[in-house]
Amino acid sequence: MANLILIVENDQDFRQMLQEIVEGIGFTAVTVDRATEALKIIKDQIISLILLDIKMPKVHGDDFLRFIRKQGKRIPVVVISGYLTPEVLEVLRENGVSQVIVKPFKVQRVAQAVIQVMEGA
Amino acid sequence: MAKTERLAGRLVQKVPLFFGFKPVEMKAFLDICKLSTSAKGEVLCENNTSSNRLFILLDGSLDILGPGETVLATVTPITTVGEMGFISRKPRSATVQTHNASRLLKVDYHEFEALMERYVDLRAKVYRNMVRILSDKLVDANDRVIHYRKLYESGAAPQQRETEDMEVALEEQPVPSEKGPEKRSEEDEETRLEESLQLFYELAKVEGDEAQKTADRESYLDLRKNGYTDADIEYAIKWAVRNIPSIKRFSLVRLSIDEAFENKWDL
Repeated sequence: MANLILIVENDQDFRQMLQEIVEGIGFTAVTVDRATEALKIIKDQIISLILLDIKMPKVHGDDFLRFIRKQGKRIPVVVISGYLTPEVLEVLRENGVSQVIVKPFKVQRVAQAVIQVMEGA
Repeated sequence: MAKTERLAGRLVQKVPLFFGFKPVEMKAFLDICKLSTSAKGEVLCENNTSSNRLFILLDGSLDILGPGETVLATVTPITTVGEMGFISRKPRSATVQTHNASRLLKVDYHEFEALMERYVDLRAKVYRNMVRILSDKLVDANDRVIHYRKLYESGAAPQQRETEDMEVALEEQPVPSEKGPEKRSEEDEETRLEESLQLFYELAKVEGDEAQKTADRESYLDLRKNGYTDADIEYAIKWAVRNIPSIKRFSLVRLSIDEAFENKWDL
């Protein structure tokens, strides 16, 4: 399904808020709370964009990103996180992240990022 | 409660000193105000005395008196009086006296300072608003200088023209309300809700289905419960449609309403 956006976020409030934003600007969202679930989704479905948190239990977002890039998946990724060390930023840069948004985020900022990536896709 | 919310809404909409205040900030401000009634001819503050109190005129009218008790202006609701000295900590530049029986809110300087300590964004908003107020007054003063220069050069009598100008200006002031804030019926509130949602659908160019409209109503009522007035919500709708690309659901207005008020001054 085209225009499907995957939200990978372990915090329920942020996850719901991101879903509300994505659906509120006309896209369809699928949400998961951990990276392992996200891997299953991108294996089975065509995803246009991933909104990715970094600090998650077990597998962190930057490890997930590195893994899918190694598998050759070029899906655009927008990172939304409050956990951004210089090392993490380096991983994001090396793995072609479209945009980085720092938590707490603004609705306007997320909506703009999603539209920019989706229109450029 | 509802009366306080309506008053807060009117102040934010109409009084420049409060532009950009969030409902929670306006409510906190109203909590430190003292409501009082003053008889005709009562002096509220005198020229050259300390500016330790701000007045908000709700009903009635006030005379601003210059030297020799000349009436420089008569102000009508809803407006602030004495905000310049109050903020700048300079002595009063005029005497203020009630023109007729008036109802006012009074705020003490130290309580206002304490409030600004509690709400960190408030101080920046107050000073930003003061800059705008002073800037407007400066522009107005420049216009007057140009106006009087033209009168002088054309040979007209300035004194007479000044009186005429003041009469015109006073006629343009809103007529003070005798009844105070109007109480709306449930039917009126429902109509206003429908109108606001319709405004959103038109501006966002969407047609919500029944399930969506029900969810939108709930979002709208949530905003009201959180102290937002209908005017606040309409402002947030316009802001969201302008600033959130491709917005299609009213729930984003609810989510972004704080952002809308943060940016109010920039519009």
